[in-house]
Amino acid sequence: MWAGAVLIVLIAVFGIYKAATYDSTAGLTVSAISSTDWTKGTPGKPVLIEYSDFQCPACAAYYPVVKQVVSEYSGRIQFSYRHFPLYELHKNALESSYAAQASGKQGKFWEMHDKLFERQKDWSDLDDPKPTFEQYAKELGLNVDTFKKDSASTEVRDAVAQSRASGEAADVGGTPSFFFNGKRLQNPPGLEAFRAALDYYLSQSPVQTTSK
Amino acid sequence: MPNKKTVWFMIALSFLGFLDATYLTVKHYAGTALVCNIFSGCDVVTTSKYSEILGQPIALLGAIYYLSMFFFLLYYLDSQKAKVLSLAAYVTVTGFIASMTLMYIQGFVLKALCEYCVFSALTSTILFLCGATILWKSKRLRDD
Repeated sequence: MWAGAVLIVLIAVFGIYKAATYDSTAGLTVSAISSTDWTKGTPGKPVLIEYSDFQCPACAAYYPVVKQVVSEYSGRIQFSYRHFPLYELHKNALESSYAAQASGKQGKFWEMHDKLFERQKDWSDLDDPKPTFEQYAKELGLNVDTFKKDSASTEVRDAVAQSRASGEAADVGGTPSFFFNGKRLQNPPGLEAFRAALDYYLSQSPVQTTSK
Repeated sequence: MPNKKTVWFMIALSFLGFLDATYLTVKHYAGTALVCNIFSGCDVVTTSKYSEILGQPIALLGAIYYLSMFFFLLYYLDSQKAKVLSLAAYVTVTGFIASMTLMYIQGFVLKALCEYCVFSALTSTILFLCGATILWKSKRLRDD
């Protein structure tokens, strides 16, 4: 009986290990940075892409970590934020993406990006988050009328839809999802792990990649 | 043996709990994102500062707990020593208290749930109820 029990446990551990480390996205790549992407850091350096949703709690938890590493590594990488609104789960995901995209048209994408994450709890449950987003636009010194018009524009909506579609093509199943030089990065748990992951991948890719 | 069915049931539960906790442990060390299907916020829970104790993932403690319970109960079936069973029954209280604490942290501190953790809370609660039943029965036998 004992040998049987030990054997069953060993087989189970092996199976679980395989299941937990199975990476269905291995080998999949993500589309390269283009002029329509919101970027930070240094063009021409290895690219870190985040697919994220302003209403996703895990994304808000990652936000300070990502902000910190992107500022620390700004000379060595280029960072891009791509919309992956999980509208199936989060009712204001799309509207918040539109707000960021519309702010970007007035040159304040990152400012709105930060505000949306920092105040996520304030607007997540609102039935109509638009007045709140307009208030944020005002605080950022944007032209609110233009912001309202842009938020509702086909151009902004299409840009968000295209961003999500590019994530779907790369098999993004949840948020946040990170890609380094086109390859899926397993979400590092915390700041230290994120630094370690970037250090590792940067040491693996000494050759600068082209950004287009 | 009066409790044989209950003990087999507990062995099965311990095994399921062990699979669940092992999965979380491997995910923790591999640093891969958890796939949440039911609740949102798996990542929030499993990467929070509460997910580790003394630098080790709590999931690992869970896996050790369930595995110990699994072998301990098998040892009881093998040896039929009543003391072994009552000791195992007492240990389920620890698992229950630990799970309740973790559920409290998820629900009230992090305000995010992780379904693998909820499943573990469920298995440890049922284990505890089985353990309590066994202790209650043995007390009644002694009293009679």
